[in-house]
Amino acid sequence: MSLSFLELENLSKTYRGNAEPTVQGLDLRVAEGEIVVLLGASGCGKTTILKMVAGLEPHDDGHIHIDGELMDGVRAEKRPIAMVFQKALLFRNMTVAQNINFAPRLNRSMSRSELAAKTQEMLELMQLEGMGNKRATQLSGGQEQRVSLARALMTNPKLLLLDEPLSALDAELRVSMRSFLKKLNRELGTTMLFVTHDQEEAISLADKVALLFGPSLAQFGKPEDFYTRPATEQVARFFGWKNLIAAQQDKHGVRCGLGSFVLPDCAPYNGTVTLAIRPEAAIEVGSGSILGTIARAEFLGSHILYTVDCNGVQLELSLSKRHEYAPGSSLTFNLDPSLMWVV
Amino acid sequence: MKTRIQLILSFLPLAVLLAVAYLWPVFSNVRASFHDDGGTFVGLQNYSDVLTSYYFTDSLLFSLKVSVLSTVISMVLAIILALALRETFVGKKLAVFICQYNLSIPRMAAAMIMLFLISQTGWLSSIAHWLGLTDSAAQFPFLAYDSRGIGLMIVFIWKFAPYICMSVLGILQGASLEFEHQAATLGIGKVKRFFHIILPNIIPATAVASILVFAASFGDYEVPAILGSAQSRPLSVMVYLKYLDPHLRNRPEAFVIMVLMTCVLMAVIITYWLLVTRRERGRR
Amino acid sequence: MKRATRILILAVAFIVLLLPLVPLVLWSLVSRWRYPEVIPDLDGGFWLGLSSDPRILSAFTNSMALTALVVLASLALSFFAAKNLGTRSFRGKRIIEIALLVPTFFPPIAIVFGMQRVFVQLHLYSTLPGLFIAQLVFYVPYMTLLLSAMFENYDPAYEQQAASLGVGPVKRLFTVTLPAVRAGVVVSCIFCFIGSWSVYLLTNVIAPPAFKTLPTLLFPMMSVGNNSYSMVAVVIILYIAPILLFLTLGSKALVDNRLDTKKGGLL
Repeated sequence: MSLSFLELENLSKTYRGNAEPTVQGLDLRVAEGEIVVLLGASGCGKTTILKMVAGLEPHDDGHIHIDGELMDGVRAEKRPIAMVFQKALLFRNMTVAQNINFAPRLNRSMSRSELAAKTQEMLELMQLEGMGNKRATQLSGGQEQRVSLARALMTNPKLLLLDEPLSALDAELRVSMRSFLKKLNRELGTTMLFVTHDQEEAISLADKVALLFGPSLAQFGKPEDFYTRPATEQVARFFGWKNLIAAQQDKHGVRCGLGSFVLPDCAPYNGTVTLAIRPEAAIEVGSGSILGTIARAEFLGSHILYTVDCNGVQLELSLSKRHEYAPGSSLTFNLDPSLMWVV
Repeated sequence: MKTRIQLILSFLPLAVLLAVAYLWPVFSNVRASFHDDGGTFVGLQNYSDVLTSYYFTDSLLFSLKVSVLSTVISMVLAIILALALRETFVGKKLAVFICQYNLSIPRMAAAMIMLFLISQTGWLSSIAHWLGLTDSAAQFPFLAYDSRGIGLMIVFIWKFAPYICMSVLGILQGASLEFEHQAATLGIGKVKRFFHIILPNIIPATAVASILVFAASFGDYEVPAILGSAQSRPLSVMVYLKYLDPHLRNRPEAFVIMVLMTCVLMAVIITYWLLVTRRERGRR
Repeated sequence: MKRATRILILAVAFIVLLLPLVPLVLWSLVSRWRYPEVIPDLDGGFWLGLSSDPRILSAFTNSMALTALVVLASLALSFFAAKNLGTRSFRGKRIIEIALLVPTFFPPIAIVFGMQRVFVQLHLYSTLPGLFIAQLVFYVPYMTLLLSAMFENYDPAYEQQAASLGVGPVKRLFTVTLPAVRAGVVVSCIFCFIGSWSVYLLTNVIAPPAFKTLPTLLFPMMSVGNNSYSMVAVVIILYIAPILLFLTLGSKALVDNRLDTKKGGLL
């Protein structure tokens, strides 16, 4: 048995009639009790991955293991998973309680008293007390999605798959459902694989984020890694790194038009690289190493975003409102190496 | 006010057409059914003549038998075909097109084409002979012109099953699939999915299409006129024969049958309409 | 469903659906075919004699002209009604919907003789204008149903946008509304064409006896004791070929505009 709870190994899928693969050579390991978020633009194949894990879509190549068991070719209903979809998909002809206990009721996997007790427990857990006898059509969006979640959890899944379950909800509800899901994960210890295209949602929810560009994985790791150490230029752009400058790296550090920098965390390399600088990296100083001319200033509430011309290099820098610089005036600053990265 | 006038104007041609050329004829039929061929009012006399006649009950039952059986068999075959058609496969577009084409063939053409195939001297019979299954044309089952209406049902099913299939397919490829996936990931097996998810999902669309199929096969004239037998005639053929009978005495009976058919069909159309509006309300 | 089961079902279904077309095509190609020949001697059949029988060509052109007129007139008479029905809500809308269903789905046998009597009184019986009007009675409501289903997915806001930019009503119709609904109009016209093209009973009862359409020419051919069906088969092929043609031409629009069974009923 492997250490990971869910293991995807070289998973690949090309839909019939498509020239390009939707998923290619994907390796992913999820530990028990973790929330892993698959993040990617729409159409990048993240839902396909989820459907392959669920058994709704066969994979062409590779293997899926859940809790050490090989799942290739196993039908969806035989896998120890439950899935929550973007739409709540509540059965309209049933009450809330009937929706929640749908699976054990149909499969006769619980005694009648156990069924009633477990349903009640779920209603309480989902903060839906007293709504068991309401019709599924009488609920609000957030309630519907919680019923859908309860229906999935009733099957005691080893792995909960969530396909953008919050994207149909309004912003405020989305935020509160996020913390609710996190709380459920801590309390029940259910492993979750969550798909979203919303960067903020991914970062706030995930123990680990798997970022997908096209058919394969761009970066997999802790959420903060994406802000401090992006794997590629593309990942850097996606996570708001504005300044990407051509530079030379050698054993002494990184040299570019702005000067030389020593970045101890970066892997040693000799040659041409891209230096990424976060807008927050600038520190204003009276007499600093870098001198720039303000080309443009954009007021953004808590801070000001300046476009600064330094020696022919354009930088976007975000500074507090303590000093305001008018376009054309000059600015001296240093850069914080911890907010710089080489890709 | 201006939009109100526009609204009324837009429906004016429709209203005039229907009033003059539809409602008036219906009214004229009803009126004629209460008069004898000389135009004298006879009350319910024509109705009692028809209802007690030797042919009416047989005809009505035959019409009902053929149309109900055709509808039910079409429905079952359509669901099976739709389940097979719904997954993606090479040539699916062509398959759907064939269904669409089949249901678009005029009924008269369908009846004649079927006659070439299933009559006792038809192609199937020749094939049966070639295979050594029969020795002569008379040994081949009597399908066309038969008094049990088998030929009629074959034509109706051939033409109408694809029609119901198209409506069912629309549902099966849409909302139903999502719910089935949801149920599958909750651990519900195939058979239970069919009875608890698929069937409840497709019943409304199937019912709506089936009602139209019933109305079409119940009132059809052309197929029984071509493929029917002289022993058992559906109501539509009865109307035609009675109306064109050189003995004008029989005309009032034709009108009575028309009115009775109108009543049956009106009930069917109203059921259809209620089903459709209920389905729409269910969607909201 | 298992792959093997599926393939079996599809194979059986499409053999059954397509099988009747084989003897049809064979019959059109032979002048003589006796039981129990499985494959008769193909000699071109009635196709060779087609040009010598002017009745068939004239019935074909009669049918085409009548149907084209009926479809165009139905489109013109139903367009605005359908637009109002599909995009607006008003009192009495339900009544209109059910009034449209009746002529569309009601078998003509129950009404056609009453129509004949009324048309006699109106001096329309046995005239071409009478035949044209009789068909409109069925196809204006049908077209209205089809178009209104399409208009339910049409957003009138585009017209308001155009109006706010100073485009007049006539230009709006031709530059905004019609292009937006083109595919739906094409599909509706195809369905309406198929309906009107198929009509037998109505034409037989109302039309002048000398005016033959393909179905009124075809129907008695089958009833008479006939030992060569070659001519019948050729006429049937001419009868169903335009339907195949229009469905093929419109197949893209058909796929893009799958009509709701509620209103797309074609029987």
